[in-house]
Amino acid sequence: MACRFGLGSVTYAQAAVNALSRRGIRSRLVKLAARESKRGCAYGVETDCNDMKKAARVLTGAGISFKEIK
Amino acid sequence: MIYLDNAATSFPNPESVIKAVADAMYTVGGNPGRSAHKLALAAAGEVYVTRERAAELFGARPENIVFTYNTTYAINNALKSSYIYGTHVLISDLEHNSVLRPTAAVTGNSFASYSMFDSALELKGEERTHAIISSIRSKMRPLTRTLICTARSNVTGTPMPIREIGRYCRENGLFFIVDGAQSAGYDDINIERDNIDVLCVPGHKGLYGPSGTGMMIFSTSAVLSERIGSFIEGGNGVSSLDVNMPEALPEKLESGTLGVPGIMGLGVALKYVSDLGINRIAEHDSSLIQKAYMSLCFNKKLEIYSYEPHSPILLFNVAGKDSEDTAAELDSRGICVRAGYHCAPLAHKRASTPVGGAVRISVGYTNTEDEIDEFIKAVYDITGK
Repeated sequence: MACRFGLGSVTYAQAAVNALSRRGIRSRLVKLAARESKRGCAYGVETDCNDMKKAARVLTGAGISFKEIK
Repeated sequence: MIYLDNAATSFPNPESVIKAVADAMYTVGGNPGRSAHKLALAAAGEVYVTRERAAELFGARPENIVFTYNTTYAINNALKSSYIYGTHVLISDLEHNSVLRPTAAVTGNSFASYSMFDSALELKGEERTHAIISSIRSKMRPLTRTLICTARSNVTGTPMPIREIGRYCRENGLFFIVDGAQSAGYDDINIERDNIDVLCVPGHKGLYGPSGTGMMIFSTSAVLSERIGSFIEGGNGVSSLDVNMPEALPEKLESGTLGVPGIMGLGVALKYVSDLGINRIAEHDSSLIQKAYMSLCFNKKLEIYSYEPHSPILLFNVAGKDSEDTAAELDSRGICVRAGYHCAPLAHKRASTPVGGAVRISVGYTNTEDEIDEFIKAVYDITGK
């Protein structure tokens, strides 16, 4: 099952994909739906829900701010 | 044709760069950061690759690379997005109009102003560095908050001691903006090590990328300083419902559609420069200028205004001849140079060139010794010696 992080800009979403890839976590860059982004027009990364905790640690370690989308 | 005007724009571009731009026109669709389809996301990925390569070359984070159209745009953006109204700005006495004009413009609207510190061209080494720092110190005022300086003059080819100036700026709370137009791809610049807040560079000179590309490169401390506001506001695909620009770089300072083919060409150009190595490029270029200088300096009908041992630039005139006339004669012999003031009247004044400025040759990595020999021969033909 796929889960998502919200990153804001496409630049940070791409940075997140790269950071996760370097640590062996598969993810893909996505544009968030309107319900997933309060201010409209945002990007995120989608990954396996089982990888979310590890992915969160990787992103935090890379200095990338994110929001977990429920 | 012999092209000796690389300080204006590099030519020819590497084949790989030309191919990258053409390929982008054929294969890259969508607008990065706007749509969600595969083409747009792929375009965003390509743009990010260029950010990564620029970040590696200049010691920054990819997210702190902001694309512009050239150095002038970068300097204007860097200054005007960080300027504190009413404060004093320091610039050197060698600055290009891309620094002088926006500085005069932002300070002209307030009760503050700008001052120029001495580039100490006559001195060398540690003595010169010490003189420059002393001059900066002497020009400081209670409201001085920004210093903008070229890393290397486009007129004399003289480098500035950026690292030492950066250290002084950091110690004295000055926001340090560097004009890297002649240094990018030639000098070793690391934005964090050199205490630079914003480095402004063109893609189309020493980086051998397409014209219409440039970058502002921000340090971590600049981003954290809260000095950076937005300068151009508009759409960038982020937080569209918010009337304010996003808080984070690069989108905070990138509005409107990016020039993707140019940026992709720039990405390939950055790889070209990194693979060659800037030391190798600098050694090649400066050796050609040294060859030119060692021949021309014996010609008594020439006035040589600047020679720096590690510079890709040489400035001269044929005695008694307008610089544009000399340039025209060289052009008739198939040699491309630039004459006049080079958009840098301050530097010409400092170098004591006559009315009409001077002739500048500026070499690039594709120039050869044979071409320099042809140039030397042409100059000697013109002087009749």
